[in-house]
Amino acid sequence: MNIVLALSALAVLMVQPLAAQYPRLATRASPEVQAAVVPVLDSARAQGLPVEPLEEKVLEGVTKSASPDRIAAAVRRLATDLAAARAALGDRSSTRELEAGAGALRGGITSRDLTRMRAARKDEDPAVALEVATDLVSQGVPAESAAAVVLNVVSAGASDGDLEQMRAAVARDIAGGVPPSVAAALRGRALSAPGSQRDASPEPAFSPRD
Amino acid sequence: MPEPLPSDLEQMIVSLREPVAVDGTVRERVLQAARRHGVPRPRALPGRWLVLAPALAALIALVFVLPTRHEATVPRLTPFVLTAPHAVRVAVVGDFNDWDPHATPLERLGADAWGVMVPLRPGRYRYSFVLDGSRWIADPAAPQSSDDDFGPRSSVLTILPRGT
Repeated sequence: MNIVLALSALAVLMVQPLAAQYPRLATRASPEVQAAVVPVLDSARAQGLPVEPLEEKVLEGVTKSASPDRIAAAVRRLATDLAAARAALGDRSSTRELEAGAGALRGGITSRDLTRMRAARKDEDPAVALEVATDLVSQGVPAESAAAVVLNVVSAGASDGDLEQMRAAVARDIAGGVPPSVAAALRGRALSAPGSQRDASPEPAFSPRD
Repeated sequence: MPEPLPSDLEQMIVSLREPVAVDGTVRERVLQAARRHGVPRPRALPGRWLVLAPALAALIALVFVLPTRHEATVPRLTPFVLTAPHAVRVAVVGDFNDWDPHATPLERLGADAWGVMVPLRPGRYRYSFVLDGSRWIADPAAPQSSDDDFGPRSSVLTILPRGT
């Protein structure tokens, strides 16, 4: 028993210097959580992945009273998604782009669509396009349809502001009773029509009561 | 050997070589006369431009370039509002406050509503409301996040730079 306690104390002591590399965690995460997640964070850092989103995932888990194992599993999964997003979007992608890509992959958007989204955005940041596609999926639009709609409007030259307006309009339409895939298709078609940017239809495309 | 000069000529040379006594203010009077007659002063413009050119460039950057960059990072006051008539305490937690339930409490706004304004830089944030320290509620007015690693789903919020 004494040996077990001594080994536990030793493990905690060994983790503390490592946790000093992650000051956001040092004050909020228990030694057990730190012991579970620091190796994952170190591995991500060694791969050149951003650790801020992983730290935020840890803090979310701590606040929601999740077990150390569950937090570590969530952090590991996010690190895997970030790495997959980087493979699809390119090594020069920003933290926000990788986060958006990871979220999109989690939502069911394919890595091929991520690459196409990056190509359609040319030199611009594809993060908002990816985020809007992810939001459409979370609102009930099938992932394949969401990716196609966003790719169409991005290819037509829609700005981030246009995409945000489209997302809000689709949400309003769905709240008004329009089926999600129909709302996304109609709003996307309106936005990708030539010269339609900036008139991204603040009013519903149609009402089911019409 | 040169021939000696006549004595009257020698005296004339000596007197011309003697220093002329002048009034101490002659320099100032000559300069004043020159200015009256429009004699141009030495030009100081090139030296001035050495100072003015960088200042002008900085001004142009300030007026045209920096606001664009500034808009991309300037925090925007963002409202978080929830209707929770039976709650005693409501807080918002998310990526912007390290998910700290003590960092951003909402204030009661009348009988049912709670709200708070939070300065957020442009970006994407996951967040949730916490009622009475233990009940987690996603924002019904915002899209939900695509992950649910720890049970209740969170909401997501996108802040675009001004003028986007």
